[in-house]
Amino acid sequence: MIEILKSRNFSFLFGFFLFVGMMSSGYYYNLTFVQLGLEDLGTRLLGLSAASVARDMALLALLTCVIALAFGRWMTRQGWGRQFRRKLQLSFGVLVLQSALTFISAWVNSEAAFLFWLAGVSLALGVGVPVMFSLTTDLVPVRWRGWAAALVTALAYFVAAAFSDEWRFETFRQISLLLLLAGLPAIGLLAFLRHSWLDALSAQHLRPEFAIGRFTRGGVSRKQFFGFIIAMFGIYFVDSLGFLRLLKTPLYMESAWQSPDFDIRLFIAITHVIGAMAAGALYTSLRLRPLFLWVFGIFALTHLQYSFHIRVEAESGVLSMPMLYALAVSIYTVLNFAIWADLSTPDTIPFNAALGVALSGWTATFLSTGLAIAWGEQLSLDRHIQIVDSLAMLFFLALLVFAFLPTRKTETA
Amino acid sequence: MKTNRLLLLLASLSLLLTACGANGLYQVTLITDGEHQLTGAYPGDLLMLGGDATLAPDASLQGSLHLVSGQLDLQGQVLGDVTLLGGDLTLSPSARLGGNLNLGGGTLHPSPGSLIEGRTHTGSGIPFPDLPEQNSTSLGGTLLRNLLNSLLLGLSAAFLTRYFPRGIARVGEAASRHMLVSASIGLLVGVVGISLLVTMAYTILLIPVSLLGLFVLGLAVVFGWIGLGTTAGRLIGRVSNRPLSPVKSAFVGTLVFVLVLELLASIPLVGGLLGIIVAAIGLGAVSLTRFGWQTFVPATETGLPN
Repeated sequence: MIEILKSRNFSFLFGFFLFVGMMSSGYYYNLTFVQLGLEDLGTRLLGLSAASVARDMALLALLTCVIALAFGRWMTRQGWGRQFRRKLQLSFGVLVLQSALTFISAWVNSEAAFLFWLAGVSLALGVGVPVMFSLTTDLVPVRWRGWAAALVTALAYFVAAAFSDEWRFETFRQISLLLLLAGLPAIGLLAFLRHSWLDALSAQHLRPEFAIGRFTRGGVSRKQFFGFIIAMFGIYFVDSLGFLRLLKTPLYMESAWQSPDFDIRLFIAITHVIGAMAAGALYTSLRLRPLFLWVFGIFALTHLQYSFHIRVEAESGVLSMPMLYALAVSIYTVLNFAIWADLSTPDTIPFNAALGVALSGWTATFLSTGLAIAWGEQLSLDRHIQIVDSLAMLFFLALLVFAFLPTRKTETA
Repeated sequence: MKTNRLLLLLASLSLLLTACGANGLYQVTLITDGEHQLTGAYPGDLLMLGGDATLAPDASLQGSLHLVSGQLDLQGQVLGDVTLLGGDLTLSPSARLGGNLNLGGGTLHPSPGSLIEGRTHTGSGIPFPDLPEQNSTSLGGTLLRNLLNSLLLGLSAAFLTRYFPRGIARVGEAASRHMLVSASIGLLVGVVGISLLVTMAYTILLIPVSLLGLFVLGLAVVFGWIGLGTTAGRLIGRVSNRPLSPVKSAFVGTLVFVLVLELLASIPLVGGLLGIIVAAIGLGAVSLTRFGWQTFVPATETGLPN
């Protein structure tokens, strides 16, 4: 950073922080308005059953997955992965659509309207994923990707965890609208303005330090790429399946993420920041397998603690459980923000990012939501958490077994 | 010869744990399973992790009672606090509680005649138990203790450098050259490791493993300090322009490093935080080098274009 300041390469710094700002705002919107706000809109404001809303949310995930894959493929074929300005213009289009959808959400008053509106949200998210992720090869050099991902994760989670005591649709809508309306003119100007800094940023993807992803140096095989997708899918699935059940357990929400005590929420928010920054440092220095092992290991331990806690029928929550949860979530979010660009080149990043995020994140969300609905009625909380714990352990042990198998001599080995 | 050296090394390292010595006598009765009838006077605390017990009307528990799991019929007297975290606690009419009643979980079956002299706390309102205060010592006493600790660690550093020079050098190098990575991994190992060991202790069966884990964790932190101290020794030699032998350098460096660390730790607020950061760096360096057995090379150190 000091070297960059000394060389007065301000366009580079501008690009880096533009990426961090865009991604953290987008992720905050996804975390709060999409993942938590839509459920509140469906159940509380529209009076739909929890099962109906969960089914609709699962449909949203599936549709987003399909749109992201289709649009990522389209972008790759058009060669838009190398066109910085086109990506900014597409980002502006996504912002316009999201602003409009967020604004009109107050007038959604039936399930049919809700479904129609969800389709619009899917379109914005599906297009947004390949576009935003492919900006990485323009704005963040390979050496800085861990830190960029850490900053994005830390910012989004800190604000979401510390300042969201009420998980109400109206609150999320208000904050999201403010954020979107502030970002719209800024991104609009950048998308259509001509400036020497923007010209410099447009050419950055031609430089090897931006173009050659960390894991592409030894050549990434299709098998390796899908190995990463399976590992990320496992993480998303374990997280989502466990958290969806905890979300329905007031004891664990009101003593942690939804606590009326600001100090508790601040503690979780700071844990997210520390976890993200630690993951940023480790991403750039460790191989990927230990990081995946850490995430699965922490998830297994967290769910084991929840399982013990449920068995002793305690009447109050223990802060160590959400602390470990926040730690695991921060680490894997950093991985998710950095890994797809590091497996790609500017030519392949739109489709690779869409494949990675859609097949791991959105498919896992879709499947886990469906399972969580079914298990919510059939399984006790104790049993549900035990199964999630076993899954986390299974992934952990599977990764350990793979560690002893012969691998290609690449960065990922 | 090698075995003797290893045994000597382990013995000297275990000596480091004398710094964590207890300053008083603590007695506890632990019930994990089976049926028990407790009569007479019981010194210390009672911890119930399972089973079925009755504290008879003539029984008197001098300390506090902690019920985590199992069933307890309390008919006698408890002079300290009673904390219910799980299981079933029945307060018979003859029960007498000298301290507070803390309810964190489980089921309480009170009786009209039972007497609670203290206050009843529920949920997150449970106060932390008072930790036994250390005997107040004079400034001279504190300095002497710190000096002795530093000397002990300095001697250990000299010993380790004599018999395990490459390992100490690897730890010191990882801690000083990759401070951020070491601190990050140290923080993870510390937080997750302690959580894991506490969780293991809950199973009762794994308490020995848990204690062993704590011992290894403590050892790793001390090993990390020695690695950092040895690096500091080399730095002192370079700055003072008086190159010392590796053993002397390790001794002087660790002595100075630990003394400075203890001095800084006495600063309110910042001192504690600094102590945690240094411990995390040391622990991280030890983890990254597998207790000094391998050199840590960052995955992206070579091959990436600048």
